[in-house]
Amino acid sequence: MTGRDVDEFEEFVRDARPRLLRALAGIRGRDAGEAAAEALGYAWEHWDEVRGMKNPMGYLYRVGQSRTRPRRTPTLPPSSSIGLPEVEPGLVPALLRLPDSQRTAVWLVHACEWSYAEVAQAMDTTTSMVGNHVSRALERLRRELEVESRA
Amino acid sequence: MLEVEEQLRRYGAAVEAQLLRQGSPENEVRLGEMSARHVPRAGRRVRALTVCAATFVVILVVALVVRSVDDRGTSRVVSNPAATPEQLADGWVRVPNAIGPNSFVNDATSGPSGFVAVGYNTAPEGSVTDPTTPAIWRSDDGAVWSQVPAAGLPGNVTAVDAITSWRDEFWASATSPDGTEFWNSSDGGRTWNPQGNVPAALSHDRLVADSLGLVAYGDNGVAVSPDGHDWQQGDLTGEVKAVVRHGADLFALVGEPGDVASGDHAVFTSTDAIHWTRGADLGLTAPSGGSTLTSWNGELWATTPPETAGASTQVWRSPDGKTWTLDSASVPAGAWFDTLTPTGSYLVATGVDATSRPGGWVTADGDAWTSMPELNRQPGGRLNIAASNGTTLVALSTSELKDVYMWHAPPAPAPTTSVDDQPPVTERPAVVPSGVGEEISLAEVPTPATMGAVLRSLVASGTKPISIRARSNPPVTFFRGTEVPSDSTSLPGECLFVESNSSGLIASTPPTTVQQTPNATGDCNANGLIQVFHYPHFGSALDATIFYGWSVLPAGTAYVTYRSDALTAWEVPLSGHVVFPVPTRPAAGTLDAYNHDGELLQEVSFPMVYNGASYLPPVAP
Repeated sequence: MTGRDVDEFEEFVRDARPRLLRALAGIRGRDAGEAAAEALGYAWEHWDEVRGMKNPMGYLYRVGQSRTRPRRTPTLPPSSSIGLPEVEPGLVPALLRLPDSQRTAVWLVHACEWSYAEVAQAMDTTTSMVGNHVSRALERLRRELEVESRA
Repeated sequence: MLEVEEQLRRYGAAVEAQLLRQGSPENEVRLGEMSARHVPRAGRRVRALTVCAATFVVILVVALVVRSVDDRGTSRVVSNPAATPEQLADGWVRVPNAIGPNSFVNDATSGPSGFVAVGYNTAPEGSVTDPTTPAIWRSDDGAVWSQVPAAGLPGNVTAVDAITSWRDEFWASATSPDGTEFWNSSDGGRTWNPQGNVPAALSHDRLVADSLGLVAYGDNGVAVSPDGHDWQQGDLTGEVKAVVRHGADLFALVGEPGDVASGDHAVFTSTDAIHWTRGADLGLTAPSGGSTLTSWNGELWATTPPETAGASTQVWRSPDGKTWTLDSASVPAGAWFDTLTPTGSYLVATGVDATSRPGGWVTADGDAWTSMPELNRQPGGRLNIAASNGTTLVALSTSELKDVYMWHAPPAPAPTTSVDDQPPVTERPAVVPSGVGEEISLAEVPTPATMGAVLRSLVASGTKPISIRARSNPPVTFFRGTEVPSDSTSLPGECLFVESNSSGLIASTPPTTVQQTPNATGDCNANGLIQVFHYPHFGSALDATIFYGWSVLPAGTAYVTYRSDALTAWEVPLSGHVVFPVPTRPAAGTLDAYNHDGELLQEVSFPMVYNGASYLPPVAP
């Protein structure tokens, strides 16, 4: 790899790392760092291939996912512990109770602000299926949060 | 209340910020620095996993709350002074692609019938969200693994999460829609029987067999069951990294709940696995993995993740679980220990090395660690699963890495005391085999003094001994043996047997040995192979010893190995021959002669031509 390649990769990492961390937190929780490291390690190894991808994030998300051990349920911090009083305390537990596909889709679309196309590639599905997962997830989250806030 | 979408966005951003803080700029290692460090030395591309591991798995400052312990306390046995670092390194073997594609391993263990690993299969080209199917692999020796057919697996589960060997059975936990499902197997892992469901909240990431019963632990604390069916949750919370018995107590290494990526590492202790008492702090944990706990050499040993980017795992030791000493000075640079597993008299660590390749390290004393050799390892995957049967360790990975690594403990050290027939140290081989059991010295073979003398006389005379009896005419007075049918290629001629007692080769008194000797043409036991059945107690075959001797060794033989299902050992020739004592029963085996440099000179097989004598009461005249 040339010095120019190294510079280019560093620039890529500066942009990709935060996005990958946030995205992988939805499925790996506290292990997102390890998963992102695996993914970016792969990117370095296959830089010639990755640099030419239209959507490297979706691809690397899958690399990070497949190269790390899945916890049965990812662990995410309570919203109160990271200084977000405006976020309902029930959001994270409700999120973790969602089926995997719904949680993955709604996390990537709304918590990570990925496009439907990016999410579709990450989940190896169609954009319409992503839409279905997201709408069902939002419906269920609203229902659970509303019930909780009324209680 | 904010819209759910907005709540998710804010929460996602906060989590990202939290994760990024783990890799704060002052702790980052810049890519260029890593490149400069690795490229010239290895002559290959920088492996970005190192970079990224250094970048992301940056470890928070460790808050050490450890009392000073100058005196390391308990006596420390130097396990094998004869084993050199080269011998320890030579014990490693890489088995490429032992686990098939599209399969992932979660855990492994060793039991009386071999090694068993558990995990799950994914669809070859399927979606990342496709359901997975459970998978179990068996291996007799750790080198060859076969997946148990799905028909042998019960229940509706997506993955098998943990396994242990308990009360001569394998026990496994699996994730099912109804919670945690437990299985057991009494046939070495070939078939499995469901043992009932327990609530999903029960942690079952790992299982440990203990005198209290079966102990399960993981993200949600510890639970214990005396019978594998009724479970009681302990009062320990947090992510339990390891549970191990040390003396009268159980000890747990716990990553206590913190924010998304950190929390205290603490050691807890319990006598019943239900009530736990907090003990020492071992500092802050890193974003993932890399910490474990075991009992070895009279002490507890723990690891916590590296303190700074690019640093090594922190190794802790404690004689009692209360006072801990950080003892990381000798850990190889950049090594990250995921497992610590006692094997033989050694402690073996596995994980990932400084170049992001699967790593393994062995220590005989806790002070010096020997790294695994090159073995054509490639970057990617960490050996975060390990199981040992006492002499062989197998290490696997939960990642895409499908290779299995094995480490064989070296043979026990040669005795240093002077024994009459013992070859001088200078004559001992420079290279001794690994994985072929202990060394046996002919001078120490617990056999009547006649054994060596008989063998030597046979070899020296070059003739048949006296008082032989043909197999076809066996008026054996007190013992009756049975010859094992053999094919004509391996046994071209008729074997002869000679009876003897401890005073010589005679047949007139109760025999204590039955020897298989060369026949008239010498083709029954080519290469000077001889088989001697020794019965120390007349009238009983229960404590027999069968000696396999080889007396026509190739020139330059420095040592000989003997491999059979009853004995695996090696020996330095004495007066030009070797003898291997096999307890209780005869066994077909293979003998290999090696020179001083460890090069194979000759291999011969020892067929089982005689299955031993049984007592035949005398017949009244």
